[in-house]
Amino acid sequence: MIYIFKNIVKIQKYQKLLSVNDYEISILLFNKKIKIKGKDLIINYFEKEEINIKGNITNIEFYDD
Amino acid sequence: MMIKGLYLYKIRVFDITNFLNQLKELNIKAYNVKKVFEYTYTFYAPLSSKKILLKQYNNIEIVKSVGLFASLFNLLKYKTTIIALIISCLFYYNLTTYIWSINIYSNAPSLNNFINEQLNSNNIYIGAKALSIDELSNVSKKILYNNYDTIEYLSIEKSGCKINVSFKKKRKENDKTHLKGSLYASRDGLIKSFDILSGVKVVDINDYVKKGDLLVKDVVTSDYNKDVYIGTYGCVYAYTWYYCEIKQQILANESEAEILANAMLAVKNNICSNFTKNEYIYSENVLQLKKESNVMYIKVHFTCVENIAKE
Repeated sequence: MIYIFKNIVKIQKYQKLLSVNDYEISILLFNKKIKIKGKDLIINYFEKEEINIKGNITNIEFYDD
Repeated sequence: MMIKGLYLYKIRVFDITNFLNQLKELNIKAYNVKKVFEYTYTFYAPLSSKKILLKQYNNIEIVKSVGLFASLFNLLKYKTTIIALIISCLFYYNLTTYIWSINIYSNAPSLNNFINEQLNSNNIYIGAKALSIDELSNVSKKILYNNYDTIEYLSIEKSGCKINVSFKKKRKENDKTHLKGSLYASRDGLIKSFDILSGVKVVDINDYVKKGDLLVKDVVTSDYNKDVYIGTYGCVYAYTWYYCEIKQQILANESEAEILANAMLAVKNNICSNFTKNEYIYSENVLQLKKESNVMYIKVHFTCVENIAKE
């Protein structure tokens, strides 16, 4: 599940983090790759089943694994 | 202020993605993951994760702690804090468990020692263990029951570590042998005040009464029209009037003022001769002052306050 607020993206039931940096965070969710692009991205909150990303989000892309 | 405690960790890792995935596997929560330098990251994690993190990663360090619990947790690491805490607890226990002072309020200070003895015998003294409100109430009842002929009211209250005791000495009943029958006016007057301990007033303040008028009844009429004797006891004060004519021989060496002063003094002494403690001359008016050859005529009017009640 993905929730999008103003400058926050919350993803639940994610499987794995694929890459993390200031401008792009990739996550594996239900065998789909999600790329969150933006500027000054930080992981606001992180636990086993939920991740909360904050920053100037410009783009969210989905790819088949 | 954040209540839950968090530690701020700093870690040097080549691949933060891999590190975060490891945290996910270890079921560790992380907050505010930030890159501070190249390959150096900071994040907040709960206090409970400290052991696992320090055990799993050698290159991790705690920068600071935030939150109320973290502060308390940190404080408890020091022996002095624990000692201070224990002393505080003991101090609080002492303050709330023992009696530190006993205050006695009464209308008869001469009985204070007697009450103190009674309290002592019931384990209420400075330094003794404080009793509960119910126990204090029972002690109060017990003392009152055992000393009903001495005290008529007793209250023992707890106020923090203080005990407040208030009591009233037993009042004595009026001696019925001193009671009189109905009281009547002994002379004309205007009622000023009453000081009646027993009896029923039949006149009011500012009433004009004549000699022989009934002032205070010695019976009470019950609901069944039956007169019940209660007797009378007390005084009825009223304004009364005296008129005096003085004829005074003037001696050769006496001045008029001297004659007047001496005459007035003599008359006043005469009027006041039967006065009691609360009776007095209220005012005096010289109505006439006349001198004929060597005789002085003086007419004076006195207003007095006196008890006019007589059986």
